[in-house]
Amino acid sequence: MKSTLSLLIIGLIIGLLITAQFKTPRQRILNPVEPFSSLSSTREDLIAKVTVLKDALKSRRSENDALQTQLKQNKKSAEGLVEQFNELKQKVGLTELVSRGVVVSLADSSLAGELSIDSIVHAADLRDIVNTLWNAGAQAISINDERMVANTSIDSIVNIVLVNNTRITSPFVVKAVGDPKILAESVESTNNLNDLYRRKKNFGVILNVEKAKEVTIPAFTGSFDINFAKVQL
Amino acid sequence: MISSRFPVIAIALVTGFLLATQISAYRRISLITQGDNVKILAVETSELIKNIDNLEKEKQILDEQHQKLTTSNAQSQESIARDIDRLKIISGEIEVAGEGIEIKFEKSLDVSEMIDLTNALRNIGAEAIYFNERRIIASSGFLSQLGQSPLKVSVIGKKELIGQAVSRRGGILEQIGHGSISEQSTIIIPMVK
Repeated sequence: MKSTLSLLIIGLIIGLLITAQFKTPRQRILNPVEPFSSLSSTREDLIAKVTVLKDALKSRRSENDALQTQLKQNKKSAEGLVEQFNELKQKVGLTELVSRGVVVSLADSSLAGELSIDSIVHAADLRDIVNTLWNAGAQAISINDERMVANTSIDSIVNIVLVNNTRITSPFVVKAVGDPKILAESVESTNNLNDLYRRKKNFGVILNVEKAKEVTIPAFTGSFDINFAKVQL
Repeated sequence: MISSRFPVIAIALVTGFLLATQISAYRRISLITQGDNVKILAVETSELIKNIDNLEKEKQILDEQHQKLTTSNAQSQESIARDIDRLKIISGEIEVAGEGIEIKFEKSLDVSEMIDLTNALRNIGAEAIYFNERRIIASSGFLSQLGQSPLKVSVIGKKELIGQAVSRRGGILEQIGHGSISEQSTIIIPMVK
């Protein structure tokens, strides 16, 4: 009797599981995996397209530079304009800059245990460091090789950081060109970055500053959208 | 004895296998379909589309410049002059005018609020920003003195878009806690001093 009852119960469970495994689709089956796969695939295509466009921009700028150099050689009257143009390109971040400076490294805590909001690096931390460096006289700054320019925004969406609309991840490397001593002191000052240093001490956020004899800040490869601002005559 | 209990053992093995398969399948599906993962992808995709749009516009500008550079010398000089003006707008070395918004703050802003406000304005597409007496450019750093009230922030860009983005629920003004906006058909922003 007992064994019959056991077999009955086990048989019922098997029946339920087999039914779950081979469940007949409802009329409106929503495949929960499909939106994710589709979006994921779209994202990959878009990332590839961004890379292609950036390469095209770089190539076109290079060709235009060559044409302008040729213009300079051919026309004396254009000399002043071309030089002015090149100087401005440097100022707005369209050319690479190599000089002495500092390298600031940030990363999420590597301490054992679950990561909390205090133990990870936020976009706001990067904005604060960039602000500190500009106040200390930095001439150019990059974060994970994304150049800081006039229209740069540093944002986070859930757990990813976007700089110049480009996704970057921890560890974060902030490079700055300028007086290494002054820049390093400004970042090392707990007055300037007190919350970050609190979290470094209490939650293990990684923050290091190194002076460097040579730092390379790459040229900006994105776009400047100027449609509404006109020169005031 | 073993042979009599064999059916029970076999049934138990089958049950265990099916149970394990079911649990594993549910775990894999829930991992893939966590709401957050889909949301992150959707927002990232949206940002990528925006980025591509901007890059294509920039490419169009550079292609036009290239076209002009390869034609007559006179036209090339005109093209360079226009590009110089454009770069001066970006670098802040020239006074600019255009539609935009003004934000007035009755209370002072602290440094982090000014940083976050500027970041939000740049993200929305601000082309020129002015804090009281100061043109904000790439290398502008914020110190507390700049945020003293009364504070007026002028922004040139698409006025409806920037106005709505800044004042929407959950937007930067709500985060700061105060501030009033007015859309303007013409805002003049002086060059950097």
